[in-house]
Amino acid sequence: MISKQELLAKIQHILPKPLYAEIENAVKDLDDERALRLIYRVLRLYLNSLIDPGEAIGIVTAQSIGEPGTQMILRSFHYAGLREFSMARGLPRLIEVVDARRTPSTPLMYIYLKPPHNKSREAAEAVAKKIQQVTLEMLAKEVDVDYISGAITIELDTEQLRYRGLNIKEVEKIVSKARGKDLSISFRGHTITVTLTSPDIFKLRKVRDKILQIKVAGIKGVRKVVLQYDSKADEWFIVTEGTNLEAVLQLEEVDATRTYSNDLHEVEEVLGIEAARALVAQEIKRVLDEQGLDVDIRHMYMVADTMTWSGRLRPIGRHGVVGAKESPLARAAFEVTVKTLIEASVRGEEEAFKGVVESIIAGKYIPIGTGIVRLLMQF
Amino acid sequence: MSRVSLGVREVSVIPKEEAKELLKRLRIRPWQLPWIRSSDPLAKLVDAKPGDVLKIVRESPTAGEFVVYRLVVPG
Repeated sequence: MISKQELLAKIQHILPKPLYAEIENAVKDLDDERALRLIYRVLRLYLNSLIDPGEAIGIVTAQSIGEPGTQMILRSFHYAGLREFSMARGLPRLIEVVDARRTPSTPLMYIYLKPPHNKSREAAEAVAKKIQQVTLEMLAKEVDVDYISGAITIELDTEQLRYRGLNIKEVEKIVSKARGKDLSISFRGHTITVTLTSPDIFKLRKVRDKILQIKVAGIKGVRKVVLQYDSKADEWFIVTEGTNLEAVLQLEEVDATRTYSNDLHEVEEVLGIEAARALVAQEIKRVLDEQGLDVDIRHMYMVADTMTWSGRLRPIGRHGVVGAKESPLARAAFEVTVKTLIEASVRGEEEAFKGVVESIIAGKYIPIGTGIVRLLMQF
Repeated sequence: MSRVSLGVREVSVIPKEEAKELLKRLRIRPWQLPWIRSSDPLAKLVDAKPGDVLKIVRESPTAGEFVVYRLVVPG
């Protein structure tokens, strides 16, 4: 008989870390015989709980997410909980994630800060001010358009300037870059005057909008910032509407290891495919949790893994995962059957009848469960 | 290691020998591993070239820590 230490050493690589730590702790005070019995029992239970080769895990995932999904509230309202902005949630957000849409309907960033900055509201607010995009419009007290002389007068608000920590010289420097050959800009005190040499009403309006949207400070794309307090971790963090991960991660105060946005493609680009995978799973989990649906996280990882298997983010559907299938019949069985078949025949594709869908169409055994085993019989 | 986040704990390029052994153990061809593009921030971090195999240690809520391998592909 071997000692419990020897057995523990043997199973260390078999069991997952948390389980191993638990059993190691549990057998600490047991004698060898009882310890061995316990370890063998746990080991057997663990090995029995593993997924067998040939198990149709994709179908299990589809059903496990699909059934609770039917219970979901189709459209949801603006919640009172998250002040100042509403967020896509529920089914719309779920569809957005599995379709891997370019930009989410509510792009958000969750910005976590490094220690001294996340401890007080004031410190976090100072960072938030640096992040929020400040346009000239936000600084203006009054905007006046004189259609006769072709002049736009913008009076800056001194209060706003002080609040944003800007001085008039900086603003002048940035605004004067907008000067063009038919556009002259002059400054007097807190007043900016933009004059057009050839005034016409439509152009004047266009110029007005353009001038007001000039970014004076902050990070481009960040429209709103809201401070939030996490009582569990005792820290302040920033939630923003509008995303620009790349720029935010450059900031010194920002904890780049935790900050993320809900824009899948942005995360894939800036943080990589592994991060995108984690985000897909996390977003689906969040949507289902919010609706009070309890689905095991492993199903989300299954979806996320299929979407990110190829090294880039692919939607579930005929433009992504299904469309990338080798078998023309499997593709045709999904959507737009005729078009898919015609294109496949034009290209001269071959059908190998290896997958599940093709095998069903052909009336063969499917490569699932016991059907995955191939035997050669000796006559 | 400044930008490794959202679930990734460690990344490294594994030596050719080790990669061969891994493929033998799993009884698969290299392209049957999940892929990662060589332009991916994670691949750039360890300076991986197409053909390399990356060892990635993920955080996992169920298994504590989980090791995955990804084949580096051009792109």
